[in-house]
Amino acid sequence: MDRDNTIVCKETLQYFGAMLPSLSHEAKNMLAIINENAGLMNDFILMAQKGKTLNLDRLSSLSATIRKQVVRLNTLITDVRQAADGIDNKTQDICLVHHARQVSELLSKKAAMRSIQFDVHAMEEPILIHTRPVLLLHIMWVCLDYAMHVGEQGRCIGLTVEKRAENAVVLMSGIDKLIPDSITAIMPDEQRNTVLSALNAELLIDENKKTLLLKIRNHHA
Amino acid sequence: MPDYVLIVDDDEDLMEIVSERLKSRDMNVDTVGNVEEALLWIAKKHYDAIILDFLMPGMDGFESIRSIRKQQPDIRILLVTGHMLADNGREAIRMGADVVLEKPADLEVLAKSIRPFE
Repeated sequence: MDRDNTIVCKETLQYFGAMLPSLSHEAKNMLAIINENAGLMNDFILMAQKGKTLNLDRLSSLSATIRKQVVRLNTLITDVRQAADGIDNKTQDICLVHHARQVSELLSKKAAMRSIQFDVHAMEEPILIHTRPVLLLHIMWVCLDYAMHVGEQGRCIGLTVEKRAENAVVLMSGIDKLIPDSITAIMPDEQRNTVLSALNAELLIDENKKTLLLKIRNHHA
Repeated sequence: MPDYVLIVDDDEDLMEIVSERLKSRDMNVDTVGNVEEALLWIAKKHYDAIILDFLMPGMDGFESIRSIRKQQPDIRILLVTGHMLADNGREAIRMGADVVLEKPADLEVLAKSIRPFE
């Protein structure tokens, strides 16, 4: 049990170590957009002081862009705050769809550098599960990171999040070059088995369909 | 004489607004979404400065600086990044960047870096 706890702690740290640079990058981009929009508003004020008529529609559009970025940034920070609440790996009720979107958004810049896009498919209603959120985010992160690095650039990787009987699943598709050893490449056996066991989950590879399936059993929140 | 500036960024919203603000400071600005396209533009048109995002699709920041510097030795390369460690900054300068700025960058500093001798 002690060994399992040590592995879980290490994997949790690994998640934060991998995720925080992406978060910082995304947050700084959003701040840059806010900063430039505020700067442009200031440019308009200076021009107005010199007698040029203010374009109110343009000002309104700049203000809307700032508000949009504030909402995005707030969501990002709230998500990470929630993940930090789960750092001691207590279980929580969370929405699987929201968490899948969160991981894909944080990995989107890394994906864009390989000209890869993520396409998340899910029903409108939330899929609530009772789980250990940081470990869930971590396993989705390592799977998607692996999916990006095997195969061609310029692909679309699909994430389908759905309920299947007593299970909640995340199906990752469009993974070009899955091989039998992929599952070990994603995460070594001992770590993977410990994390999956803590999540009461399975990770299944289908080489023919080029898919990875994360199945969370008895998921009900 | 106005400066000719090329902005290379895969974030269109950010690129367009920086472009608009530089244009209002009497600069001629073109924008492109990746480094390969930027190399094509600088092959056919003279630019005084290029504003380059460090993390871009297709080519890493260091490789981008090397390729741009090789093609246009006199261009000022301004690297803007949200993800720069001190070692990377020094390496970028060694590779040929003139200035490394962290996001969110102040436009007046950016403009001053394009026209350092004014």
